[in-house]
Amino acid sequence: MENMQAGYLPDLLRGNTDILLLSLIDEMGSTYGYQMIKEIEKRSRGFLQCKEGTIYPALRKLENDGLTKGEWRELPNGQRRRYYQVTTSGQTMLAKKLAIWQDFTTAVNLVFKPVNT
Amino acid sequence: MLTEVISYLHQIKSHLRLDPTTEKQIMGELYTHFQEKVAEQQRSGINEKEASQEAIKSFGQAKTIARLFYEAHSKGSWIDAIMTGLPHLMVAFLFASHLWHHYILAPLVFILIVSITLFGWWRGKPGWLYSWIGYSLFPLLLVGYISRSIPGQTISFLFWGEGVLPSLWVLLLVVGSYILFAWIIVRTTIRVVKRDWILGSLMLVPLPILGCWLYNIEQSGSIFITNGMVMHQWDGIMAFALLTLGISSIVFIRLRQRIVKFIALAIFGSITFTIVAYNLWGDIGFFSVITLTALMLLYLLIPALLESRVGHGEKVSDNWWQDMQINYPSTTT
Repeated sequence: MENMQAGYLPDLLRGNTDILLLSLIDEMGSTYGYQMIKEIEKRSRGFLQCKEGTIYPALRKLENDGLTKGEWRELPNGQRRRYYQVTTSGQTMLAKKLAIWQDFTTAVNLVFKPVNT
Repeated sequence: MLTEVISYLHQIKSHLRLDPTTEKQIMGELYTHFQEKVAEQQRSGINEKEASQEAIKSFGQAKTIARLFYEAHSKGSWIDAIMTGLPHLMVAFLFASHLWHHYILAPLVFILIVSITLFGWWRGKPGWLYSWIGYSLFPLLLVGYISRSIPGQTISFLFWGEGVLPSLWVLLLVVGSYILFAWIIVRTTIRVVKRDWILGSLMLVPLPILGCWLYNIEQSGSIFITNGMVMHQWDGIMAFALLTLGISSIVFIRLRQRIVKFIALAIFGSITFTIVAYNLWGDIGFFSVITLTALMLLYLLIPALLESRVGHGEKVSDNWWQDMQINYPSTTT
C-alpha cells in the first residue's frame, strides 16, 4: 500500500500542480513560493507533501506561460521576496481547469459509487 | 547560510544552463526560500546544521530541480522562434533569388547578421542569438578558405622551391588574419558552450552545409567566377537546405526537453547535410550516406565534448552566493 501511495500520489500531484498553485495565488491575491508550500501542506492537513523544489519551476512555468506575474518586493527588514499574482488569462485558465476538475471528480465518484436510477 | 546549503544551491546552478539573468533570478528566489526555511526550523529549536540538512532534503535532488527549471524556461516564445529561424531564411533567400553573388546585397545581409549578433551578444545573449552567431562566423571561414593559396604558395616555395614567394606583408596579413579568426571562433564557441553545449550545436549546424557548398564552388572555379550556370547550379538545393535548417531551429526553440531538442537538431541537420552532399557530389552510395550522417552527428556533439573540458557557467558564478548575501540579506541577521 505504501509503495502504491509512493507512486500514485506524486503522479496525481504532478499532474495538478498548476491548478493547485493558480488557485492558491488567485485566492491569496499575492503570495510567494515558501508561503504556498506551507499553505498547501496546511490546507491538505499534511497529505500533499511535494518536494519543495518542484514548486519553484512550476511557478516559473506559470509565469512564462503568462498565467501569473512575478515581481520582487523588498520587505522592511531588507529581505527580498518574489511575489506572484494571477493574470487575467490565468484566471480564465483557472476557471476552465476548475470546471474540468469538478466534472472529472464527479464522474470518477459516479464510477466508484454509481447512483441507482 | 551554511556551506551545505551554498554547495547545494551551487549544484542546482551548475545544471541550470539558462541565461545569466534568469539564473540570477532563480538563485535569488531559492536563496530566500532556504533563508526562511532554515530560520523557521531554528525558531522551532533545531540547530542551524540540522535545519539546513532538513531544508535540503525536503527540496529534492539538485539535478532534477535544475532540469525542471530548464524545462520551465527553455521553450522560447514565437518571437524567439522566428528570430532564431530568420538568419537561415535570409541566407536561404539569397540562394533562392540567386543573389548570393550580388556585390552589394550579399555583404549587406552578412553585415546585418553580424550587427544583430553583436547587438544580441551585448544585450544578455537571448536564446535566439545562437543561430545568428553561426552565420556571423561564416564570413571568417570564407575569407580564410579563399585566401588559403597564400600560405600554400609559401609552403610550396619554402619546402619544394616551387612557385613564387608571396609578398611578406601579404603573408603576414593572411597569417595574422588566420590567428585572429581562429581566436574569435574558438573564444566564441567556448563562451557559447559554457552557457549550454546544445546552443553550440545550434550555432554550428549550418557551417558544414555552407562549407560543402563553398568547397564545390571553389572546385568548379572560384566563388568570384562569372559563369552563372556553374555558379548557381546548387542554389536551389542550398535554399532548400537552409530553409529546412530554419524550420528545425524554430522547432528547436519551441521544444522544452533538452534531449528532444538535440534529437530534432541532429535529425534535421544530418538529413539536410546528406541531401546537400548527395546533390553536390552526385550518387554517393549508401555507405557514404551513413558515414556523412554519422559525421554530422559527431560534429554536433563536439560542443558537448568541449563542455566536458571547459565546464559550464561564467567564472564569476563561483561567487554568486556572495552576491546573493548582498542582494538578499538574511532574515536572521
